[in-house]
Amino acid sequence: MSSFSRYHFQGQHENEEVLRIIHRHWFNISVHYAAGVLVTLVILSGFIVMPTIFPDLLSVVHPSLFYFVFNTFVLFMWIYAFLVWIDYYFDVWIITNERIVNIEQKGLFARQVSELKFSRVQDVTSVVDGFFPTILNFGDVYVQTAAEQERFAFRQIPDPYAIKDMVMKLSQSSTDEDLRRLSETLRIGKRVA
Amino acid sequence: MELIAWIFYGILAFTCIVSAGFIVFHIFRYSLRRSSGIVGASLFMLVFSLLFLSNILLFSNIPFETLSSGFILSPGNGF
Repeated sequence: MSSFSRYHFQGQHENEEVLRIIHRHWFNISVHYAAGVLVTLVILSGFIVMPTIFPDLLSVVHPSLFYFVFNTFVLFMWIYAFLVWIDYYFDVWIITNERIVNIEQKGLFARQVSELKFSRVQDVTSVVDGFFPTILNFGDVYVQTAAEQERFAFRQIPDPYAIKDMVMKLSQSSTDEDLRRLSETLRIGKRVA
Repeated sequence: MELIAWIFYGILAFTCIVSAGFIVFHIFRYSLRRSSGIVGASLFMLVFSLLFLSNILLFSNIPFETLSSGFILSPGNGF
């Protein structure tokens, strides 16, 4: 049994087994959080430095107002941290034994779900581009389907080479299964004729 | 002055509550594992509730009358 057997997603088929769940690499969310931490440090240092530049500030501004502004700032940072986390955690690629499901979360009010059956996969490409992606082993995987359709992309995922191999293997086994079914149907057809 | 401050604060508080509601909704609705959804939503709500309640208390303790009479931006008081 797969280690992802406890995972369930909307639209999962009855006998569909989740083989792997892929989120973006942690480096991606770290960049967002680093920006948040930087802004917090700048504002906190402002709270500390301001009274030294304007010594009479604390006598003019009531401490309650000072603490209120600080508390409101922390409250907003807490909400911001979870908004970033939701964007990261619910942006997910699910590989099952039947298909690839891409759930893309864009903020709180936009969510896009798309899927690709393994039988339609034609070509898989992995791209690791840049200093940090090379060091930390993350990048993009592009799955090419029918010529008119756009590529199905896994963006900024960890271990893209392993994912590429996995998709290729599942695609190959799906094709083998389709061929086996086709030859079985043809054989039955010959017997009937 | 105090009434205007409370109106603005009401808008701020309402925005925070609506944002928190949407965050909890997303965590519960879209979590791939029920247990991680419960843990994530509980953690968020616990800290959010503490911060929000302390925020209301701090705001209600601001002496608006003193502020409106004493808060004058002039070179004499450091500005």
